[in-house]
Amino acid sequence: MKYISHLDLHRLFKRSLKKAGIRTDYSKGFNPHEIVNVVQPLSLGFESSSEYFELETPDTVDRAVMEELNRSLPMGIAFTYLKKLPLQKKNLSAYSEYATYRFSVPAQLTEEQTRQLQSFMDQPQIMVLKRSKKTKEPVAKDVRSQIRSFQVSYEDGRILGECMLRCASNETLNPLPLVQALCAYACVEVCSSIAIRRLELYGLKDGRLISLPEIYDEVL
Amino acid sequence: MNCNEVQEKLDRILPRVEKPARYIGEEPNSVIRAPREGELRFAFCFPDSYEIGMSYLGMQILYHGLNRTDFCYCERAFAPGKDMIDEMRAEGLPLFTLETKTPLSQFDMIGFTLQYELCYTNILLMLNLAGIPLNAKDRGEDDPIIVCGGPCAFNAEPLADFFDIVLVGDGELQLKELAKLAHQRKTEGFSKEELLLRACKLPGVYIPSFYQPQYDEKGRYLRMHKLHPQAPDQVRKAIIDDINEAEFPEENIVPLIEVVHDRSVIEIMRGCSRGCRFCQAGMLYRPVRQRTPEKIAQLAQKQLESSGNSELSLLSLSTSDHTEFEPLVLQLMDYCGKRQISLSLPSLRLDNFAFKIMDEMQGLRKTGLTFAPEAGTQRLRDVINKNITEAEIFTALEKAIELGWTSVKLYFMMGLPTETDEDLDGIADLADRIMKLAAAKNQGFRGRFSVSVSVANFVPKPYTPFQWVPQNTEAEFERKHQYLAAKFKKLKGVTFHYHDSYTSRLEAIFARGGRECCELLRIAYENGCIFDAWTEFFNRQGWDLALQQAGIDDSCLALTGFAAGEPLPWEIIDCGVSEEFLLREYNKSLQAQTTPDCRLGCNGCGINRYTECKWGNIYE
Ligand code: SF4
Repeated sequence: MKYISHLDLHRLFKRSLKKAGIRTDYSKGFNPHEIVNVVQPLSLGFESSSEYFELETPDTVDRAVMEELNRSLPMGIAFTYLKKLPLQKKNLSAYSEYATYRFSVPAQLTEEQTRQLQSFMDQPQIMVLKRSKKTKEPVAKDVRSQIRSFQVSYEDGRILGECMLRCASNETLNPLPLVQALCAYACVEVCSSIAIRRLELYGLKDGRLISLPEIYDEVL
Repeated sequence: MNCNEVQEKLDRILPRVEKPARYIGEEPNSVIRAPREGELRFAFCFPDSYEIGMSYLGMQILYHGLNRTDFCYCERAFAPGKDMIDEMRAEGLPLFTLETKTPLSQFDMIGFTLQYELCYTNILLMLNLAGIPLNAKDRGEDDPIIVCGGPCAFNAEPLADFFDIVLVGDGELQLKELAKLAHQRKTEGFSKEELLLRACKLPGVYIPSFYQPQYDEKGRYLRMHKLHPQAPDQVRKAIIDDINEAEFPEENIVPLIEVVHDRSVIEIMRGCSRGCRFCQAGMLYRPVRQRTPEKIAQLAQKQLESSGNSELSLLSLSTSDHTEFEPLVLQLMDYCGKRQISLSLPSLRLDNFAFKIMDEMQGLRKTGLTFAPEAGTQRLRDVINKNITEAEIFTALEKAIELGWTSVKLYFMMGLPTETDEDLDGIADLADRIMKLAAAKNQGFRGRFSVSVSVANFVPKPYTPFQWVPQNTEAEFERKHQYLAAKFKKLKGVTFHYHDSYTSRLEAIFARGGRECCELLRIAYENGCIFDAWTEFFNRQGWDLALQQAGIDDSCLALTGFAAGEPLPWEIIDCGVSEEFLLREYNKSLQAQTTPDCRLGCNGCGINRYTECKWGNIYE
């Protein structure tokens, strides 16, 4: 299901809610819309093992409903976990600070290139191409401070890695250009596609990392 | 190439293309299973993008109809986007179906739907991407049988070289019967020729290769010469007498990505009795047949429940003409209102009832009221038999403004028979008077109201009372566009849109052309023309060159028109409405005489020679 954009995912969820007869509360205002929210939407082409979807409803959503929802979702997407949240103004996205990702790049590396991979994070600055919000042109930016952790290795013809990157409402680092920067740094030519999977979203409490669904227990 | 190889190549390509979900299938309610031994493999092709094709109801009807049989597995394919086409060619990936990722060339039968002329090059594109020979005569016993249907199939001459079989009329039963024959061929192993022979005896089945058009020395079409003694002299369209009996899908395929229309659609009636003289659908879909309110409500409920759609739309050529329209709408409004589903009622006549329900509809934004006067003066509206009067428009508008509507869209055509500049003045004048009315009503709210005027170029279509008339030349269209644009420039708050005249000319060529257009189409495709209906992809140079190479210019009959009584290139098909009726209507139009709606009295169109028309005289 990695080829579904977040807007489409949103629509899919709304459909399955409708099929299950779950009403979604409408916001008031000139152009009323439903309060349903995909938390920190993922870029097209990434896989994910933990996505969050938030909604406001006057109806009870229990395990039975969850199973019903899953029956109407296409293969590859399913609700796995359900949690009742207190009604409040901020949505879950607002608590997100970091996300962890796993990546894999098929490539043939020399020993020199393999060593080079390891020194990627030793650079004082890590330049990554980011699309400028205004001009939409890619510009190089130092994202060193947005990387909380980064491990990489080379095994069986694949560059494998895991990293934790900023993923907050005001600042987000997309792992794809970062992995591309890594490959460029080690002079690796990427001929096949880079596979990326998001593992988890995290919030912060007193400097401690807390996985997103647990955050409400801590902050409220 | 097998399905796994297709999938492997696809996995490599998809990360690089725009909207990859167009190519993955996997939609809820699509039929994905292992093909069974001996069943007929049918690929339903829509010659445009996934987003357009998936919004088309006819495909859902035929797809589910075929898949409900025990002898056929129907899958889907669409025209891939330009980026995907390049990737597929570079990777050597042939066009495949979304369900099982099987290359099209491995199917027994491939069906294309012809909804508009400007998608024709995409048919060649799809065949070509599938590695299937374009010309029917170059395809052998083992190649798929290529079939088409849909409104444009009523004149399939411009495509005759490419199709083995053309289906005209109501497709629900007919396509199944044809598929059954093809399945028999598969089990019994008879030849393609034998299949075509048996098929031509079914209603609405036209086999182009059984006929050869003959021309005079000047290249004017004379007659169809029958090459096969068993082929019918004329092919009469297939008719379903009662559409309540016809199949209608209850579990529609739900696209994973946003498509043009994301909604459940119920066809409430087929056919229209208003008799607008420019309207091809109004003639082709006769007689008027309606679904019962019970059936409609039941289908709507099933479709909404199985899709989770949040919009329901009723389909027909003239929604308000359903005899039980009011109770039906009230019932559906009640059903939808309780479930946060919006109800849309296209082609609604703006009478008191319409305003009452629009006012009651929840969350309806009061913008975008639409009218289609089609012509600027009453005289010209009488010529085209569009029975909407200025008084009606203004009464409705007055009401709309009072109820708080803030914009109105008006649709017109230009280049209609007998049109003069006075009729064009009428278009601008109408918009001007609407703005004045709004200003008078909305005192103190300057700029609160806007009018948008859209003018299409008239394309004369076969099987209409205007099938003989010349189309305006490109120069005429251009002059009229400029003439109107200058008038609209002076009107504040009114926006004016018009269509490109070049593509309207092409539409006319393919709508009324004969077999000589096959060559034109092939050359255009070879010149790189595809997605002709998309302004951003339209390749004018390619078309210019193709017209030149095929020797088709402004003097062709499809553009200059035909003399009444002259043989017409599409006459091999009997659409049910008689030529005498069309001619009578044409002559009346020249006198600006109107013909009333059939409900006030049968007008003798001739369709009741073939089926019972229950619509005539019902108001008498
Ligand atoms: S048969 Fe008569 S009533 Fe029926 S569609 Fe034709 S003209 Fe109208």
